[in-house]
Amino acid sequence: MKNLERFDDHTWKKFFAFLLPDEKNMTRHEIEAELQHLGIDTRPGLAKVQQGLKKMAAAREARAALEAAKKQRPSLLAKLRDMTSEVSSLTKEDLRRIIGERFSGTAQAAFFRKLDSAASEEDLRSLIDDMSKLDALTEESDDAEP
Amino acid sequence: MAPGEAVTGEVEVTEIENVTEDQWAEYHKRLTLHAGGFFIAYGWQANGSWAGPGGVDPSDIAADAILKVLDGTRRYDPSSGIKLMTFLRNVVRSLISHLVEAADTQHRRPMPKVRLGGAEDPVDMEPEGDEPDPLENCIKNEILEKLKKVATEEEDTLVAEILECLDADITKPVEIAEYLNVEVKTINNAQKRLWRKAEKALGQPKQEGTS
Repeated sequence: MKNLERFDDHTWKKFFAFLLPDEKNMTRHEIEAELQHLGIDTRPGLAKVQQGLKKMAAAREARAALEAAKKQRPSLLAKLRDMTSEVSSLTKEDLRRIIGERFSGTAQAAFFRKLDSAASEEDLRSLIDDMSKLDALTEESDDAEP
Repeated sequence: MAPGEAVTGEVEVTEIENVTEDQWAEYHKRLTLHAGGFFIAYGWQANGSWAGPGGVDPSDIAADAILKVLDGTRRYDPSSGIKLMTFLRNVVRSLISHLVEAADTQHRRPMPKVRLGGAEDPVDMEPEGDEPDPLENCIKNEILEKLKKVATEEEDTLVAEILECLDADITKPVEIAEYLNVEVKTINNAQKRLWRKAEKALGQPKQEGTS
C-alpha cells in the first residue's frame, strides 16, 4: 500500500527538487542533452555572452593602450626638458620634426610660426619651454578624463 | 576542457579575466539549466516556449547573470573564497527573484537563496535556519498536483520509499540509497525515470534546434 496522500505539500515540493536535474553533478554532454530535452535554446543567450566578452576584451585593450601611453609620456616630457638645456645641439629641423609629431592644430601652427621667426638661441629656448608646458598641460587634461 | 569530459560544475576560484571563452560557454549552459528549474517550477511558458515575465527565457537569465559579472554590475571577488560558478548561480537566483517580484504572481516572497539539490554550496550561500528552500517555495500548485499524479500512477514502491526519506529530510541520493539499503545507481535511475515522466506530465514546451 503506497498511500502517498499521507505526504504533505512540503514533502512533495522536496520531491520536485529531488527529481529536477542538478547541473552540479552533470557533465557538459549531459547538460547539453538535458537542455535539448527540455527544449531550451541557449544560442541567443550565448551570443549575448560572446558579445559581452568582446566588449570586455576591447575595454581591456583600451586600458592597456592608455597605460602604455601614460608610461611613454614622462620620457617625452623629459626629452623636451633635456632639449632646453642642450638647445645649442638642436637644429631647427629637429624642432620642426618634434612639433610635427607631437602637436596638432592651432598649437602646431603657432609653434611652426615661432620656429620660423626664431632668430636667436634664446628664441629657440623660449619655444622649447612653451612646447614643454603645453605638453604637460595636455597630459594633465588626459589624466583627468575618466 | 575536452568535450564530454566529466566535470563537477564547481569551477575554481579565479579572476574572471582568466576564464576562457569556452569555459564561459559551459557556464552559460550550466546556468541556463539552473535557471530552467525555476521556469519549470513556476510553469513559465507561453506559445510552446519557455517565457517568464517580459518574455525572458532561462538562457537570457544565464546570459544576463554572466554579463553583470563581466561588466562589474555584480562584482565577483575571488578573495571571498566563493567559487565563480557558485557566485553566478547566486546571481541567477537573484535575477529570478527580481522577476518574481516584478510579476504579479501568487508567489510574493523573495527567493534570495536556493539549491537544486545535490552538492553543497558554501555556508554563506545556504538557506538560513528553517528558511524553506526557495525553489520548493516557488513551485506552482498546478505543477505540484501534476507531479503527485505522476507519482501516484507509478507502480514501483520505491517512489513511496523515496518520499518517506524526503519527509525525514534525507534528500541526497547517496543518503537515500544507504537508508533504503539499495545501490545509489538504483536511486539515480529512479530519479531520471521519474523526471522523464514528470516532464511529460508538466507539459514542457518543445523548441526546434536547441542548445
